Amino acid sequence: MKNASKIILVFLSVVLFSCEKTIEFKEKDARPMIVVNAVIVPGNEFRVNISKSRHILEKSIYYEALENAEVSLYENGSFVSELAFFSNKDTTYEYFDYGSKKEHIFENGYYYEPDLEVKEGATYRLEVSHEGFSPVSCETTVPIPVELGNFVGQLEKAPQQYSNNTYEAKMNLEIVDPVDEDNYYRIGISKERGIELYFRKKGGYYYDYSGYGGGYGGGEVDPESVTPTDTIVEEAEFSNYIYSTDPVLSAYRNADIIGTTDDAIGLFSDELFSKEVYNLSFYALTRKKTFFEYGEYFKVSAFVQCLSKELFLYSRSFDQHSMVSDNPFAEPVPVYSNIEGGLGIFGSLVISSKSLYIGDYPVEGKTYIDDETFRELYKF
Amino acid sequence: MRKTVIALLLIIQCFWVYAQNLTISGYVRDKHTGESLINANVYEKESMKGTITNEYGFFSLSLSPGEKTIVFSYVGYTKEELNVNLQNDSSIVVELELMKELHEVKVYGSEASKVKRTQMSMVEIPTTTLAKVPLLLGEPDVLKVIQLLPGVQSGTEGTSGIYVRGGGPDQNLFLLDGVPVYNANHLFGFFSVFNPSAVKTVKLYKGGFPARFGGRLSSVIDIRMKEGNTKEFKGEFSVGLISSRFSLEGPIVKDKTSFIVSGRRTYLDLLARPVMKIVNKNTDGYDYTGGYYFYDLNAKINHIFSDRSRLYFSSYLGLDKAYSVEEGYYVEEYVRYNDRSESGLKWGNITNALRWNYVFGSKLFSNVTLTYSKYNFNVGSESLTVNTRDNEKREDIFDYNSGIEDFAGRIDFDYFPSARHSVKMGIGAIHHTFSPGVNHYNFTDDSDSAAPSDTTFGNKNIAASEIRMYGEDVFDISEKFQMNVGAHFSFFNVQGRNYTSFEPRASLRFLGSEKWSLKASYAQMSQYIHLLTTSTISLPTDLWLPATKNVKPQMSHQVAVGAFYKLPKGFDLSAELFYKDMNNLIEYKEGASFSGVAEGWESKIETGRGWAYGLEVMLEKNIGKTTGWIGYTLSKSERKFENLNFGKAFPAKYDRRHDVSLVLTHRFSDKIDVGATWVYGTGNAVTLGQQTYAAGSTGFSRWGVSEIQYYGGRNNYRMPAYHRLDVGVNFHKQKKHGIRTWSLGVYNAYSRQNPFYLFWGHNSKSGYNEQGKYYETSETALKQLSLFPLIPSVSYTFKF
Repeated sequence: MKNASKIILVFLSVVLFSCEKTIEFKEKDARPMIVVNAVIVPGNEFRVNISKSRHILEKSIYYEALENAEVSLYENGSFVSELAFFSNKDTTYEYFDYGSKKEHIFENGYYYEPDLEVKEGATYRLEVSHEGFSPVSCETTVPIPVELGNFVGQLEKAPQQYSNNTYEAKMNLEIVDPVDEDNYYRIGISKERGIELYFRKKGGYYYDYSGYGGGYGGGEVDPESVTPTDTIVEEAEFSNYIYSTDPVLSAYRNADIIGTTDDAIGLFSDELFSKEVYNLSFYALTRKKTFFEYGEYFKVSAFVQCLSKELFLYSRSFDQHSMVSDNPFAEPVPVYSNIEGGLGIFGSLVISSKSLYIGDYPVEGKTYIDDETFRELYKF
Repeated sequence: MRKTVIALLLIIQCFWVYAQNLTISGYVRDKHTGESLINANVYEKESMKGTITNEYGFFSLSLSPGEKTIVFSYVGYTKEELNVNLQNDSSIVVELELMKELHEVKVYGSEASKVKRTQMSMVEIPTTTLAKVPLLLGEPDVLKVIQLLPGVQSGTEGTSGIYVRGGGPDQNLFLLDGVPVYNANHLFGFFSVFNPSAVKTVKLYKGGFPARFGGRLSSVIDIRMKEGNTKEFKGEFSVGLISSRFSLEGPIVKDKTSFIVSGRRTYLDLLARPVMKIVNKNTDGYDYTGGYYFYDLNAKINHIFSDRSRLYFSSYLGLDKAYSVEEGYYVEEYVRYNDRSESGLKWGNITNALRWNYVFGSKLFSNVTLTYSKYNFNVGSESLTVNTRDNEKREDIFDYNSGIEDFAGRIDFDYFPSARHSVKMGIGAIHHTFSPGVNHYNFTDDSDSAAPSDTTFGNKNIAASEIRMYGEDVFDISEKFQMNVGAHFSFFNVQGRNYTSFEPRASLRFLGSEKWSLKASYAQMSQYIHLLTTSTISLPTDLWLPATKNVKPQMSHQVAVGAFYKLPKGFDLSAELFYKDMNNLIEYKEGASFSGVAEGWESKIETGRGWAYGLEVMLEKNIGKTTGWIGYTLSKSERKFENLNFGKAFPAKYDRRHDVSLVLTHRFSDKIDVGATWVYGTGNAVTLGQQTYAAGSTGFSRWGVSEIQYYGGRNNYRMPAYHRLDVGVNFHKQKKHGIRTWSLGVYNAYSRQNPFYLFWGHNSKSGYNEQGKYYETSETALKQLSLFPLIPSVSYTFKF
């Protein structure tokens, strides 16, 4: 279908001799609205961004905070406080043709409540008013963290469509889902690896191991040429996409005209769970062989965010909205908002996490240093 | 099921009582061609008891014994009166003579009056109109003329897609000689597949569906092909700007066996090929060619065994193909490699129908039909590299196929128990095979034994079986009231799941006088197939999919009331009100579009309901030198899906509040006639951003978008209104061997830039500011893409 899409696009562009012109926009209702953006997380400061929407033809390259708003916060139905406004300066850049850009410094800020500790299971309500705008209100109930069970995995050579040195980290994570309620989740990972100092000196994950024929990230090496040390350098991988054919994790995967995006794969719900404990199956790619024999290891930290329903709907629709914004063949997707009378999102989440080591860690006799220390010691 | 059978038996038993009269039956045909005349009037002059001929020109009229004058009439033909002394059941073949060809339009509709017939929401389009109405690139097109009728929206600019009474593009049953045609479009919908040279009659049903039709919610377009001249050889060819067509018909055995063959092909690819060769020759050692064409081929042969028995075989083959070929060589390390790659897409329909008419006695006409139809869409690419030194090949083939294949059989009966009753009943079965997208990849490399790969992946074929049966009776309750009552029953088996549907149908006519009537109708319809389509244009990638165990069949209920008035000087005025409710409609999920459906299509759709209501007014004139119609539709069509637009109702894509069409043809003389159409429609509904606002955090790191467009609702904005004027003129001249016609036309005569697609773009601004510094900037602006400015056309036709 990817080929079909391309052929059709090329064909249409040739066959349809179209002409383009600017036409008048006859808006029906373009009055600016109050925009509330806040995702509250237990352990974090209670912070709310408030701005205003603007007419689509209004020229501005940033959205400054809406000052002098009255922002009332309620917890479980009881008034807590009026949020204070914290003003700060913000910077953005306007880009022109030929690479030139212009810096814009503008007044920005946010509303906050420094003394409030966000509680799991509590319901928070905001009421916002400002002269010249219709008042808005919104509410979110902070979820309870989900319990995570076993997290296991292994590295396997990736199929041939990837480069020769690509490996799949295949993982399974148990999630204990409360059966009597609807729950919404997002999964994400971060990857780290421990690299034998000898190899790290030759490049590390993002650099070629010159001279060993492995290309990007290193491949097979001649054991005779390796001089192992007792030091392992810990390095993060910055590409943290996950892939899955698990029906639960694939349920909200989207498709666009060119192919399939993986951005939304992290979102899932318990809609397809048939039992309390569900074993999520997914994998990540890494483009370096792990030499376990030299004490190297591969580490994955998985986190599962338990999202409030409104945050889930917002995140999902925002993904879709962004994805199809330039696709003439797809229907535009409106972004969900739970701000009554206004726009934006007031949602909440809590995070549970678990880590997995593939390979032995720690290994007796090995010294572990982070990448920053490595750079200082070895002047990289 | 049991109820249906009992009801049918009761109806038959009831009619047996009337079987005391004598019956005159037979066929009405064209005197010069032998073509059966459909819907010809047959009535007894004194009592005015009458009937009309069926789709095969057969009639049966029960009358009391004695001297009778039977009148046979048909639009455009000279009326015949036959005096008979009816003492026994008798059978006759009546041949009517066509009036001089160019006068044909004069009497269209005067007899088979809209006022008298019970059927409402139905329009017959005379094939003569097809040639006179000016259309895009001068190509006569059945569906484009249908688009000009009230209650029918045309969809996107220039395309043949039709949206009837707020329905979707998949809810139209295109029947070519009774065989369903799934993709009725060529060239992304700009032309329909029905070659006008082969078309004999076209009927559009928008509502009040008789029980014999089923399987679609919104319309039936019943197209009958010509049978072939049984008297003499006749032909026609036409050369136009982008295509040529021909038609040849004649007797194989005079008055017994005849045939018709017609074809059409576009030739832009052939014209462009030499130019492309010159342009691309030796640019990098490679030759490039490419192009697009479509063709249609219709053939029909029939044989008359006797007055009771006749056999027909008809076939249609159509194909669209877009392709590109790249051929050349390269040299690497002193080895020459020959290189060839080809890619393209093609899609097309095949339909075949074998039917046998047999008349039992004088009251029962039967028709047995066996059909095969197939729609297939294919995208493919193939590359071959040959090492000329070692003769090693590297071949890479990719194919994507989707489509639908049907085998069907049915038997239909027309039973005429008395002059007051006309019964139709039948039963049929269809076996469908749906291919919702299968990919095939094959790779071989002689130099690398590990390389071969041959895989097939995608959706599995889905087999489904369908059984349909129906019974209907058009009967005179009294002189004023006539009714068509019936029921359609269907059964659908797919993936181990059975669906059934019992669909009552009824139409009632009150004849106030010869000049006016009131009508009402109700129809319940079901549809076991869905078309998963993109929202913007008609593409061959649109997938026909069955109802499955997870996706339910579409259902609808439609009621309509109407008033019909015959005005002086040949004007007919009609007005109809309708309301239609539709359930289990499907749409892509938000964010999904066509390329994602290769696998798991059921997970990418939403189901919901829709409703439409409106008023249609049509003023026609079918007599005289000036003919045509003015149609006006006031309507509203909405959809509601739980997971689209946050569960709120929204306007359907082609919801069009006002729709006006004006069609005029005028015959100055036998040598010149002109045609003009003007259409006006409220702009289509589109989803367009009204405001923007800052995107909030999702609680997860992300790249890119920091701004959100606020739409205010799905399909919240109206494109500018659509209007267009087309004009054309035909110059006819009698030549020694036939009539030649030069047709000149202009599509979009005042070059209106009609909206095809709206989007938010930017207008660049640059200049020197007040400080004398050069600046460049851009502003957001609403952009409109338009297709087809003023397009002239010319064609030459010769009929012999």
